[in-house]
Amino acid sequence: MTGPLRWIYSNSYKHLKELAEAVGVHSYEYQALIDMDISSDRMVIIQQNTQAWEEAFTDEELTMVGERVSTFLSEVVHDMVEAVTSEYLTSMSQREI
Amino acid sequence: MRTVKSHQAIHETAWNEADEVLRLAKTLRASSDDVRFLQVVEVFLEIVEARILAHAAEEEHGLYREWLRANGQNQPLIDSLVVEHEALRGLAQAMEQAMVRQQYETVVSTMSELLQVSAAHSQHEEKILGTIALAGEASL
Repeated sequence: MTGPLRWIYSNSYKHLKELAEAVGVHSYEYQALIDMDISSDRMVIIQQNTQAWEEAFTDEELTMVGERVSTFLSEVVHDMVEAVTSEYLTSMSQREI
Repeated sequence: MRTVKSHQAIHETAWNEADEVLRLAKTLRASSDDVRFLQVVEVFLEIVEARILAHAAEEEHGLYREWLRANGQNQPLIDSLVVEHEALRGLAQAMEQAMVRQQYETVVSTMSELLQVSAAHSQHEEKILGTIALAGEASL
């Protein structure tokens, strides 16, 4: 079953939201999901436009927002900002041409 | 945001969007489609946060201060509107907590309540904006 991270691991979602908002990325700009179909692990899937980031964690890591979860979410937020900046620069350079 | 008509349009667009999602959530709940219900409630809360609560925060930091600068006697009116904003924030928070606790019936009723409070608040605010505009402190 795939469902929103927000309702299933609310602490991890809150952490993601705080990290994203701190750099101006709003929650409606990405989708954070959790796939619980894989063995005992939980797959976190974060999608933004055509891009997606995935990583498997244990139930405990996601409930407690463990170090690995925190690092993953920070990296995703960083990549999301990079992607938006890159798209913006590309569109601007195309406009100049 | 400073004219009655454009302000009304902002309120109506956000409310209609949220109301459409609420109807869908009710249908999914009635058919016990929990997987899609969870997704639709998230969309509802995103609309509330991005369109209704963000608009409320903008008003508190901009428009209401302008009304106050124009006339200090507007303070009680502004206070009453801020109280309504707080009620909306409280309902959004209650909805989020109910979702995490999987209290889905509470979620649906809170969604309905949030939209009722939002509609009443919009009417109240538009009436005040109209009065302030007639007094020459804002545009119609």
